[in-house]
Amino acid sequence: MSPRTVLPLPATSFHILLALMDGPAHGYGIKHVVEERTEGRIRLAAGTLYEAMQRLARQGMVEDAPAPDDFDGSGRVRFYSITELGATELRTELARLEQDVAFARARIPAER
Amino acid sequence: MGHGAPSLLHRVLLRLYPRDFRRQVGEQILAFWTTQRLETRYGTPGIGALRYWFDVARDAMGNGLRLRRDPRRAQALGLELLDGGLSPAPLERLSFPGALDLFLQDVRFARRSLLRQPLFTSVAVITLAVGIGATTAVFSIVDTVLYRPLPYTQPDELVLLGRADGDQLDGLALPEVEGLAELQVFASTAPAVSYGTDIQWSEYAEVMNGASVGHQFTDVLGIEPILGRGFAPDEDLPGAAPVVMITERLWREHFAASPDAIGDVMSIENVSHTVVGVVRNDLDFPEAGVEFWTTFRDAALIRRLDLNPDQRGLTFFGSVARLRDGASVASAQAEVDALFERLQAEEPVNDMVPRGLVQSMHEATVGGSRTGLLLFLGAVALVFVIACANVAGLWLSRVSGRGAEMALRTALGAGRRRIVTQLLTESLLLAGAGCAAGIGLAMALQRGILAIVPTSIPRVDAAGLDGRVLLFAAALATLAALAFGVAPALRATGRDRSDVLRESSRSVAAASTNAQRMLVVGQIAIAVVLLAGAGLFANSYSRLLQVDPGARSAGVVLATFSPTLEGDNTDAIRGFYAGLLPRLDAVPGVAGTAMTYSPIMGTSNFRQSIQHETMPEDDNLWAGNVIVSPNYFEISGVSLLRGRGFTEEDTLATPHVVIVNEVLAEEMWPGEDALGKRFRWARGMSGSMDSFEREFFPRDYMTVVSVAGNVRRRGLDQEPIAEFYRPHAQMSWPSMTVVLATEGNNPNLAEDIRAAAADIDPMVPMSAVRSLEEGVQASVAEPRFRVLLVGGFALVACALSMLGIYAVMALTVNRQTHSIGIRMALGAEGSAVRRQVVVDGMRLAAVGVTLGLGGALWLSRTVAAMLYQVEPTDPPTFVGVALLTLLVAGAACYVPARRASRLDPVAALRTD
Repeated sequence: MSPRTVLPLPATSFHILLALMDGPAHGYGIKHVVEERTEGRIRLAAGTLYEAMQRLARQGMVEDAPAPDDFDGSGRVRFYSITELGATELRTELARLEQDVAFARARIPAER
Repeated sequence: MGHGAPSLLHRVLLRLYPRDFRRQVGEQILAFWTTQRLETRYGTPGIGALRYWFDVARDAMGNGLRLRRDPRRAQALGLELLDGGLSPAPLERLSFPGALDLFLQDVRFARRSLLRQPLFTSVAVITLAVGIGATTAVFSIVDTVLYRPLPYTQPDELVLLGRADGDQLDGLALPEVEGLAELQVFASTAPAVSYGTDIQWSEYAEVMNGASVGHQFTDVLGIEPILGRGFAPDEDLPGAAPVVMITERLWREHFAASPDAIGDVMSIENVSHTVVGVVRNDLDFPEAGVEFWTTFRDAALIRRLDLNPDQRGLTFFGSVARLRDGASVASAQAEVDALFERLQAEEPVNDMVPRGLVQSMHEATVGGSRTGLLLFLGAVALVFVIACANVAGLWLSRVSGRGAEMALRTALGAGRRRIVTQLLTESLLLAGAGCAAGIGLAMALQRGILAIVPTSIPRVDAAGLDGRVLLFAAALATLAALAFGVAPALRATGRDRSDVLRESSRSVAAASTNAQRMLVVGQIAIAVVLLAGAGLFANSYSRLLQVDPGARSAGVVLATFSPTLEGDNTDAIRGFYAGLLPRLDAVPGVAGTAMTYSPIMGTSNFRQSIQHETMPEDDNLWAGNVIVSPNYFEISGVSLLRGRGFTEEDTLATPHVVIVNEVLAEEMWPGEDALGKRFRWARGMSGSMDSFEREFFPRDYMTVVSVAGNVRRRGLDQEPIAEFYRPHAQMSWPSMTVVLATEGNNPNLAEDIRAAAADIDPMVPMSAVRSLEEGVQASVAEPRFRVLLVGGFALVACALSMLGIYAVMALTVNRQTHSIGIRMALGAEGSAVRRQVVVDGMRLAAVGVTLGLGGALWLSRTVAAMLYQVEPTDPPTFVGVALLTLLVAGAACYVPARRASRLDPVAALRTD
């Protein structure tokens, strides 16, 4: 599947992939990072998050990862990491967003 | 992630997601949810839980249902690859006409239908809210106390050991504790003894509850200190450096919650103890209120009294044990019985044959509260049933009023099933609204109940509205909806509907009115049961309040002092109190002071074995020993029936004197005058406690100088026991309670008393200043709680059933408008019409009252043990309840009756 087909990324997926750039994380950990980074603007519910995770996994952008050694929770908790494809997608998306922003800036001058 | 186990409610909500999705990430979502619970925004007590469940429910309903409704969304997660660039289309276009849409359509229809009749809907919702709210509030408390596991690891393996006092645990002697520790049936045991003792902080001293426990106790209970460690085995040996574990509360209050508290010292009875561990506040071991733990051999009580615990006479130790795998309370009891037989053969206890008792820790902790709590749950369940019956009545009239609508819909092709579903959806929606309002009400009610709950009910502080309680409320609502919704729905659709279209609805209405009348009879019967229960409790409580405790409590305040004096010698003790009492006398608002070891309604009581002159040497009897100052009788209002009181001249240098109460006088010398008679301590009662025995229990005879009136020392409902009084000058116990008679109103009394004591010694350990009147009130807290709770439920039940009878009579009058019009046109007086309606209603009430009285009589034996001097079949109570109910029912019927009598016959005849 070419990168073209999944862009533009929905905001949820964008932030999830961004969170995973720091390293593998479990579902709640991703939610926590996203919430902190967006200062509470994006609060992922379990259903929203895992639906997105499943979709991203199908698209090959995330994959299961082993739990880190210092994790003391239940063994059944699944960890995710971002794939090469996912990272490429994220960069492509970022470039696309930058283009859009630059395009918009050129037409709408910043307020004084 | 994954803190705590997911609850049933979590699993129920998870079901809202499609099955395939659950298979893929169900476990993950559950772990996510349980972790989410720890977020600080859900930390507020009460509200936090509601907010959390609201968020989780919204997640499951929003996301779960969306996945179910939207096939393309679901497909995106399936094996198919995504076909690129999918942006969510409006839901409406994607939705398919499935069961869910029908359901949502029903819900919308139901909402419109309910909102069309705001009066009906609000009355029904409020009634349901009262029923569900009250039941949920009581359930949350009962559930917390009785059914939540104790806060230890695998608590059902834990048992408490003691000597048997009936089915109660009593203290063990040390050889027994040690014997028990070796039994095979226990995986581990730890001895424990709790007592109040003095703590010296840097600024002041106070009396606090602590316990001496075997070093293994943290292992036996399976708890981890939140800071530091538990005791090491060598710290539990005689001569080891003193160590202490403290509660989180002490740690926060006195050690600033600092990690450096470990290794810091705490002064217990002027001995420095090193803090080694901090444990959580709800440990409640071996009983509630214990704030610190020292090692067993460090028992301050043993040290202070200079006792030798290694003999069977001294019995105040407890023990906790963990059963070995596969062992039961019964198999443990068998081994314990064998042990006690062996001990009795080796070292007999002279005046009795003690038996051992094994009791599950859960039973020992909450067993005493079970009957009372289940009674409340039963009472509130009756309120719930009445609320459902009430709504059922309203619902019946509403459904029967819609006969034509139903018939029309049937004629237009709606199946019976469709209409029943529709009606059920309406009742579910109504119950859902009632449930939501009920949960709000439950929060308020729970707070109210906790504010008046007697302290004797354990673990009640932990009650809250958690997932389990909310699930219970939801189950109640569903039950209610089915209870009031199913029958009318089936009824409304079960007949040949063409009838209904053709004729007027009079015959249908008559049938539904009959059903409503039966419901009203049932409601009144249940209300009578609750009123009778409340009546019995109120009657019993008022009798309890009339009991004369035998001592004055109005305006009396108490303060207990435990001076730790050099060598504990009697001169120092007498010197301390000789200095203290005049200073307290001078405090503004104090009219007089006296002292005693055993204030009434207190827990400090000595019981000792004595023998009078004509008793054989090996015979004795037990009586309470109350140490007092000479003016105690005057200040505390205990009457002296004959003879003289103690005076300042009664000292160690003069003959030993004693005052007996009526019970003891009658027991020792039945039919004779006790004055001038003599008795002494029985030999061997104190075992080998040498220094202690010489000082306090010389073998000299004591002469009875007076007979005192009986005092109900342990509670208003406790019969007086045999007791005798001894002057403090002849028995100088160090720890005494000062009894202060007050006058006027000194708002700073407690501070002034503390200041007066500090004038002698700022570090003297002193209890809080407490009012004796409050103590007496506390002793009747449980009966009062029963009156308030059952009485409250009874009033609600009564109000609801009166609403029920009012509604059904109003409806009857409405339906009979036509026939009443005919009668009035034929010349019937308004008063006759009025009488007829009232008589009709009273007939229902009379049947209900009769059934209710029967039910109440049948149930009354279950409360017999909770009644004081009131028979469970008390005729005045039952007659009073019957008359009251009939009277109120008459009033409820009178309103529709009066309307009937004022009908305009002509207008009435024109109605259908």
